[in-house]
Amino acid sequence: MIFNRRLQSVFLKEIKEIYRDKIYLAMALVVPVILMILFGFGLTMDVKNIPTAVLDQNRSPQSREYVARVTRSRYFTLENYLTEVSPIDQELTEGKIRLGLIIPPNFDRTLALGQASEVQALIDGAFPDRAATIRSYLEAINLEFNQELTSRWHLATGQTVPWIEVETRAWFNSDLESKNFIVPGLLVTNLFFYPALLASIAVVREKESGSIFNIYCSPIRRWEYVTGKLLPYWGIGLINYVMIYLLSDFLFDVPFRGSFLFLTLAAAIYLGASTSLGLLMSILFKTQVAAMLITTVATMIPAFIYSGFFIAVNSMGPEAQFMAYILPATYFMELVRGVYLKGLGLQVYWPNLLVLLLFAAGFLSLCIHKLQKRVG
Amino acid sequence: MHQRLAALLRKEYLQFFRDRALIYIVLYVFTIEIYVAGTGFNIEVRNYPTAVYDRDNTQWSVQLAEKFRLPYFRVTHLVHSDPEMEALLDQGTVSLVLVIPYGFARDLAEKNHAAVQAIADGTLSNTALLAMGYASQIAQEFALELGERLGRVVPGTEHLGPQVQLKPRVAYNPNQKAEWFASLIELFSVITLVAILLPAAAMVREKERGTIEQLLVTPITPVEIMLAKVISMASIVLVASALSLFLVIYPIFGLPWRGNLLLYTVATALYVFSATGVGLLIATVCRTLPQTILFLLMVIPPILFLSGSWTPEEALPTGMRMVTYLSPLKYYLTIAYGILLKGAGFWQLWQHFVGLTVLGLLLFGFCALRFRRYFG
Amino acid sequence: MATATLNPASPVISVQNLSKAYRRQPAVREVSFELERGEVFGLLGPDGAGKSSIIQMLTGVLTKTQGEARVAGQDVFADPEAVKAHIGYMPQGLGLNLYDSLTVDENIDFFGDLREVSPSTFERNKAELLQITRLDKFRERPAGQLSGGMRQKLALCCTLIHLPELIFLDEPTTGVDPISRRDFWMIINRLVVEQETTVFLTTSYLDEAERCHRVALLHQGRIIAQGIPAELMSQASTEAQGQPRSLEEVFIQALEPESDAKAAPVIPLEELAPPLDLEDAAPAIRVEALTKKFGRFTAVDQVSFEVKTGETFGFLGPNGAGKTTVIKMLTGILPPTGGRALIAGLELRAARQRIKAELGYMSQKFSLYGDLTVTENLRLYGGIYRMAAADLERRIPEILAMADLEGREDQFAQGLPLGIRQRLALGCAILHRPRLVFLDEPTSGVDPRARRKFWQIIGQLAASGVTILVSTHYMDEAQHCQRLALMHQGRLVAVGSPEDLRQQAEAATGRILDVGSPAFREAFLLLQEHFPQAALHGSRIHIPSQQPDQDRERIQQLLNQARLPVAQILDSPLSMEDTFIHFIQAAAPESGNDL
Ligand SMILES: Nc1ncnc2c1ncn2[C@@H]1O[C@H](COP(=O)(O)OP(=O)(O)OP(=O)(O)O)[C@@H](O)[C@H]1O
Ligand SMILES: [Mg+2]
Repeated sequence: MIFNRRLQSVFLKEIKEIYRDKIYLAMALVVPVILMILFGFGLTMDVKNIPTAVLDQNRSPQSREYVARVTRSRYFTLENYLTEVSPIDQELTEGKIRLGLIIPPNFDRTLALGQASEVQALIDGAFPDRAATIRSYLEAINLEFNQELTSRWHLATGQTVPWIEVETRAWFNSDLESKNFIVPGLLVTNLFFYPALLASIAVVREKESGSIFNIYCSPIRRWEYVTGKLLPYWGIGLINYVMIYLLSDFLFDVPFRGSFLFLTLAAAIYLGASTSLGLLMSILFKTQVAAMLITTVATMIPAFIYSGFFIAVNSMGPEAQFMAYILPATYFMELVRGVYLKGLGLQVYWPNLLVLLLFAAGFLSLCIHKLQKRVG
Repeated sequence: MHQRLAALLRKEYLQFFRDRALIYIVLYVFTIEIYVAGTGFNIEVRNYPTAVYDRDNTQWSVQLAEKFRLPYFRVTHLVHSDPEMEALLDQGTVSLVLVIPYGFARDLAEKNHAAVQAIADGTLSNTALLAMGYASQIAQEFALELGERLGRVVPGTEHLGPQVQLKPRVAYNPNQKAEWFASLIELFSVITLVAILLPAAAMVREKERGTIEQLLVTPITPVEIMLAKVISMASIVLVASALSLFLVIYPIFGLPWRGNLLLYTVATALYVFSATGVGLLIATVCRTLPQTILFLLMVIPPILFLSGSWTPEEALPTGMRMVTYLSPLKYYLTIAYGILLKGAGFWQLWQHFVGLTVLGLLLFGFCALRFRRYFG
Repeated sequence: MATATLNPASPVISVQNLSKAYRRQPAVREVSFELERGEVFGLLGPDGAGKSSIIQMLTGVLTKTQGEARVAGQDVFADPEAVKAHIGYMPQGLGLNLYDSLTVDENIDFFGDLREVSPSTFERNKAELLQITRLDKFRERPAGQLSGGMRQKLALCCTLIHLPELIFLDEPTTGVDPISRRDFWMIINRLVVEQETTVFLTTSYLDEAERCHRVALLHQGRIIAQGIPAELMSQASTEAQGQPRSLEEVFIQALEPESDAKAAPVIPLEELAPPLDLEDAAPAIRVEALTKKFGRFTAVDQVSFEVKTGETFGFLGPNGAGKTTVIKMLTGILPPTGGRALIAGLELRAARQRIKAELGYMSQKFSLYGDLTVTENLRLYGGIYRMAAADLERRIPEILAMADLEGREDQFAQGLPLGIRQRLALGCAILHRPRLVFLDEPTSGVDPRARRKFWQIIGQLAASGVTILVSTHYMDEAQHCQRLALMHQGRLVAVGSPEDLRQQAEAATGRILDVGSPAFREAFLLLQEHFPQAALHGSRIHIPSQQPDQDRERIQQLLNQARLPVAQILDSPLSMEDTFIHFIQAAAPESGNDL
């Protein structure tokens, strides 16, 4: 870096202000760790232990076996085993259960006759993703049950039915643990809204207090001021990055297959983009409250929703896809998960890196351009 | 008491409506943002980018591959070698590869049993799981169809032998419209965000600017100051949320009119009051706005994402589950979904109402205590 | 750094027909003037005349509506950045441009780096400025914990740290105590004499304006008079009113014909209703050994005094003496560390909730709502004090008229000029007709005319039996208090009526030799070497003396030797300012050395 005293003065002043406020300093370093721990343990997309109620009108060994298959799996937990007509609907409405299975009275007899028996599954549809997952788990269990039934019956009757087995394998995350995509994802989301929000009041604060006048009427260049303001928050972001990385490795045991150096380079650029986005809000708005609110809205929720954190971008609607593509987090998300789980690097993700660089440069130059060394 | 409160309320409203930028932001998040988020997801597997690696290359294998089609799978590549497949998965170009091994048709013809492989990109484990489930179903259906064609199985279920036919019924949202879920979740998130953030910022601003000092000398009681903030901010949020419900969610996403809107309004009011309580509590602890932001960052994301909106309560570790009882959103979420989607009445949700009320009262009591101490 | 070298022949600032309008509201109208190098130029005018707008345009932070201005050889509007390297600018307000969480040292360091001052120059300037402003003992204290006046002084240090060629100061001595104001003028004089620095300042202290080479009087955005202070004074004397004694009277006379007919005529303070007889009034405030410690620092040290009901009690003291801290403790904003305070005979803690409705408080730092308009602020406080609607409707116009805020009802408080904001704050403090009023430097930054009006109001309040505790740095105002308390470094050093105090001081120091000279800057520097107690009052030099006759001769001699002209040397009684300085120096002799 070129030694530039004016830039350095703004930089040092900002650092000192941060350092002086011990509560702020401590929290700036600790909050991302707390968030990471809460989210790492709390945010799981694995659908398991679904509270289930069963209305078994048959009460035969076979119906019990069917129920056992469902409830013994780690996905479902038997909440209520009912034998009489009961308010299953009601329980669903109250949110006590998410799944209700209704087995008809003549379940075993119908099957013994070699016929199909209908089992009703009432799934709570309030959360469509969970509903879909529950349904698919249930169907898988049902399929297995049926295959055993049929093969026994075919043996007995001498019929042959072709059977195609699908051996499923998941690459990169063989146990299909959601933690393995959630934790690296959190690296992306947290490093997006967190530095942005810290930077979001950096300039507007000086506007409100009046100290911005020092900048207005001194010969400092706009880029010097913007850079000097930016660097401390960028630095905090980098420290946060390292801490989150260490947590992902040591606390959450997420496999890390790629190059730490490459990830760090990408993170540095990404942090440049998120920090300057926050700073831009700070430059554009007149009051701290507005700058802070807009930054929260523009970063926190989108980082989780549109970046591909929960849902793959390619299965989103067009409006949301548009949001995804104008969000730096989307590009970093792909890269981070690739580095963590696939062990890939620059040769695959150079376009992502380039886009991130463009975002950072774009936001930064907007900051410089929009900063007026003038009142009003 | 009345007159003082009225004067303070007037002041709060004036200050809010003075900040143009703030009004626009609030309007934006309660309308456009909710619309975009509503169209955002399709958590179900759709358009899953798929490649087929057909090493058998027989009539049957081709027929099987053809079954992988829209809306679930979008076959974009036909691969011919392992490295090619690896590259596609690595780069994330496709998320699933169907591998049909050499000898597939022969095995099927001779042994009546063949295996194929579905290799999914496990990075997003939840969608991978769903995709794998669909793949199994498709293969099974193809096998049956083949059996019928070959005359090994006579069409008609009775001849298939005994079978459990699962009749899943997704309650409340039969078509599994993700818009309902997504837009409501977004609404709740936005309510939370604004209801916590606005009063916290407004309160800390008074401290920073020293305006609170002037108030301290007047006969105002701490509770009045607190009430003025709570009532003003809460009413603004309430009106805004009604806006998004009646302008966006009902007309555009066609949410069915199920619940009792009066009950919902009461619940929302209760919730918004508790949320402003959270915000004010934070404001009493913090001296400066930067500190406040950090506190908010520590509190808001966990409330937003761990209250059961994204992660089912039942999937949380016990410790975490205990923590979520402290989040007012947890109760509100159940209540609001219960009313709006499931058409539940008060008696089905009264426990959650009690929870929300108790939590809100606790927050308020604590807040009043802190205010009183501050005002000495 | 800047490459443009200044041509000594051409003016440093030249302004032609400069105008500025905010949303079509004219603030500055066709102003023209020029400044030569090494000149001290004072811009005077009532609050809201457009002074700050002119300064902001000249420093390149505000756009113009029309006209031209060249500063340091550059067109400010075409290339504002080129100008900025040459200038130093201190905005209005009590150190608003400081960073509260940074220490005194760090604030100065920041400005040094920002201006790229070479390390050796920087260290020297910094040490000197800190010493002169008496901030050197507080180098490690965060700016946010300084008193109002200390902040102002620190802001001044920050502005001067790079020894700019051209200094813009917007009300630099607002809230600064008399001793420090002297020091401030010493710095300015030195810069002007030694470095030919050009100084452009605005001030509401008109005795200071007399020290400027030239002044301009701005009214409603127009310059209505311009020239050398002495000439302006003599010009004014040709008119009906006779020889004005000070620039302040020139100022008031000049504005009088243009002032609103509606505005109540300014009554000389002497003619106000006589204050109540307080002989046996009950004490409204009783303070016993009141102490406040911030960490290890004792800001208020065992202060005891009594204020009688209906009394106007003045609070004087240098910056950081602890005046604000005492007032904050009495209003219940700060809890005391020790001692006790009784208000209306009740223990403060117990009394507070009960008497709050009877209390009015105007803080030193503006603390009304900037994003509310004038009327909205008034209504808010009316509501808070539960004034009946009808009463409020009557009272608001009254307050508006009193504070001369008519026509500004719908302006936002944050956009108001400093002096007008102060008036609004006063209005809010007395809106509900309190019985006990605390005013913390109510007149700081307020123009002379409005100040007289303030005191008129205070006089009226006092006459109706209201107890008033007021702090101020204006010594002429102190004279209007019934009793004064002088604080220094947290202690009370004297209490008594103004006349008592003056006589005590005169007994100790003797009378004053008042030296007038056209070359007063040079004469002052010279005399100061021989009479360390010499001080500038306006453009006159005051030297306390026990043997007036002997000293008079010596002064005459010294000046003659130096070939400096002498207009007159008068023997005069001690002024209030001299009294103030005497007590402060007596209380802490070490701090008087550098005077
Ligand atoms: N919160 C604080 N923490 C530490 N020191 C403080 C704090 N507030 C004030 N002080 C110190 O207490 C002393 C007295 O301050 P105070 O504001 O009472 O002075 P003042 O007499 O009102 O001065 P001025 O005339 O400049 O307004 C100063 O030295 C100041 O720095
Ligand atoms: Mg003070």
